[in-house]
Amino acid sequence: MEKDFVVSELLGQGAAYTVMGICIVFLILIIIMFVIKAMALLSAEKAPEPEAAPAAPVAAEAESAADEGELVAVITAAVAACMGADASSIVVKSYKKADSWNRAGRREVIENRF
Amino acid sequence: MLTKLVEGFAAFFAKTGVAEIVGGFLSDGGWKTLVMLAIACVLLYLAIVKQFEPLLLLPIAFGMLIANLPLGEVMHMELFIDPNDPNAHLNIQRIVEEGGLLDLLYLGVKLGIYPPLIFLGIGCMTDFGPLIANPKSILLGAAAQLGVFITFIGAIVLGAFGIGGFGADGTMETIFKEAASIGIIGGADGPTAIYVTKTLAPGLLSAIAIAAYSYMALIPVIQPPIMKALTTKEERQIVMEQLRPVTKREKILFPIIVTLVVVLLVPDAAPLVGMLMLGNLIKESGVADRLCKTAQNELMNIITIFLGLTVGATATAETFLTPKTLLIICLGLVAFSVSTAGGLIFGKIMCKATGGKINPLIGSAGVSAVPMAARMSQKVGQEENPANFLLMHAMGPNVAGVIGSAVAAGVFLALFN
Repeated sequence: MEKDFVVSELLGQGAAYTVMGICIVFLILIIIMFVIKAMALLSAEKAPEPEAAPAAPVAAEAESAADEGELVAVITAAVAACMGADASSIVVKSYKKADSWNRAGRREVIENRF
Repeated sequence: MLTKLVEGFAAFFAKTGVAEIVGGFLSDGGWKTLVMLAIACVLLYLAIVKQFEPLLLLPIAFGMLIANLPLGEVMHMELFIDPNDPNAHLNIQRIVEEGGLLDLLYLGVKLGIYPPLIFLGIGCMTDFGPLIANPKSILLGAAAQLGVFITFIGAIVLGAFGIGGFGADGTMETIFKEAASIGIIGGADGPTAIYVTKTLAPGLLSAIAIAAYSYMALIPVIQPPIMKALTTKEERQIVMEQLRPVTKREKILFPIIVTLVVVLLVPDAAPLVGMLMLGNLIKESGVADRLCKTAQNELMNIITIFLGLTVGATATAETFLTPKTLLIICLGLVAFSVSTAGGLIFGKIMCKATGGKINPLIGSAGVSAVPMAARMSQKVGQEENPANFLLMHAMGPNVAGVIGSAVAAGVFLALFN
């Protein structure tokens, strides 16, 4: 192979291009970053007014009471099915939402989607 | 009668590819054809059984298979690359008259049509929301282009000392062009790598495309060890603040503004970034739902078939079975690893600068393989702290990486084309 260049010149110019390339990429993305920030300031939409706020809690309360009865029934049935016992022998005194179920669910969604 | 039949069969056999391989086996590189067929079969195995990016690797491998069968006449690389004059203009007239099926489809690669159309589809599928909500994360997308440039200079050093046959015609220009095409593998972005290589070093196209797509499939193997080596346990456990909701207006303005900034500053990146942002605008505007669906499904699938098949078909024995290909595969791994490391190191810097608000693991997502790289950040983070959800935080650098590697491609094209 015949070389048509001086090695030191090639390396020097290559290094210059390398540094220049990194700088240009950073420069352009930094510009975009500032543009996004400016855009966020300018286009901040007003948060929607909380309309009909007073009416909501009443409905929610009533709903949650109904929900609770149903939920207790579901829990009772599930526990009975798991233990193989009769549902009438089980009384749900209190229940607490466990965070780990949410987490497991979320993880499953992430695993499946991506 | 019998002799006529035998003669007829013999004449038919003489015209088959089998005879071509057997006849040329010892004299003119018939064994090379067999090696190429074997490589194609290995790639088919990886695509089908191991499911390495099957959507692309499968057509690539089959293109390789079909183009290397002798006398098939579906692909004529000599129509595109004149060995005596690499800078000769394309003779479209001749390609249309003499070309086979794949020659005509390859025009879409050669003229730079397919990669931007793939970007259109990617734009339709990408949500830039996490990036808009946390603009700082765009810097990680820039830092993860480090591998592109480190590999670029690495390949130049190899070329300078005549290792691997880079710049075979002995000019600096060729070495720069080939080094740039190899470096861009570190962007972890197939269409971008193909777009740069078809312009700067068409002879390396198949090797670079295969390296790029294989390593993308290997991200779950390559990235986690680097991520664990470069971060401490405490850093990996950092929980990041919830991202703020992004307004629709911001999402619509974003593609328009990015197009303005990037195309004004790096015009060579216009086809890639322009199409990416058009796709995103179609999606975010919400007024052209039909176009969005077509671009991200049918159009993208059609282009993927054409692109994979023809890129694979450029892998002929003369261009592929060289020490260069092996070197490209090695340099591609270096490029990927350094890009990952670059993002992580910058992530650590940002972690320190913000007083521990940023988990450095999201840095490795700056390589643009969406969404695998972001998923790796999520997975490695969750191993340390099961309640930690880094996925959306990592999507910011991840989509920034797409813009970053397109800009890096634009820089190379501006410098060397």
